[in-house]
Amino acid sequence: MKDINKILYIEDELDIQAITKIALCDIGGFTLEICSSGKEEIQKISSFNPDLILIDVMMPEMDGPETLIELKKIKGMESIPVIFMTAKVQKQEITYYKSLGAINVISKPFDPMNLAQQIKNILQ
Amino acid sequence: MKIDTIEKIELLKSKFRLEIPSRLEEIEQKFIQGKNLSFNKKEFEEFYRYIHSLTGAGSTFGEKELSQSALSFENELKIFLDKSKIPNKEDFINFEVYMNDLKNICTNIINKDTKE
Repeated sequence: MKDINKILYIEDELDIQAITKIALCDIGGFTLEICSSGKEEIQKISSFNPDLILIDVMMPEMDGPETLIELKKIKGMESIPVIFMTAKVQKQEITYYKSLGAINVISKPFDPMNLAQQIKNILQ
Repeated sequence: MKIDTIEKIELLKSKFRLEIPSRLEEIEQKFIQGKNLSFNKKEFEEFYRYIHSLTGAGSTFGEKELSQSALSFENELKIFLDKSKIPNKEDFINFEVYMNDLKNICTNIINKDTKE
């Protein structure tokens, strides 16, 4: 898998956005672009050209799975790995997320000190 | 680990705790609105999201008791959400136990912070 530098992160909660930014930029050294909704993400995705997309599952209007379905319709986006972030991590839920094309799921709450490493481990 | 990174995380935790009174107030207002049967579908979904948000932020910022309480409430509300059903007055009476628990935990956090 290619090196990951640019991450697009979709999360509607401002508090969680802030702590994830610290976890991924300050601690992990990634370049991060944050969107507050799936709709915003779809607008930003082409210009940012991310190496990885992190999506919160529970969002208003367009939730995580809907966002992923829409993303996969965009030309060139099918190959970008997607990881869901959610507290809903029962076996059948994880199977569902993977069936949509997510490569894995990070469970919430996450440890900000270890989030970047968790992502690196998934991508290895 | 840089000290300023740890400080930033601690600042976010403090910010979350400081915002608990206003979050609780918003939730209480919406609860009353629901109890008075003036929720439409969108407003009920919004109320659910307020509780869900407390579950997630609470656990992320180390307020486990608060997060657990919000999660219990969230799970009850989700039963209605999944059926696209808006809870009625009797349902809201049943929800009061969750609302009161949430309120007590928030009040304890607020009181603890005030003493400190």
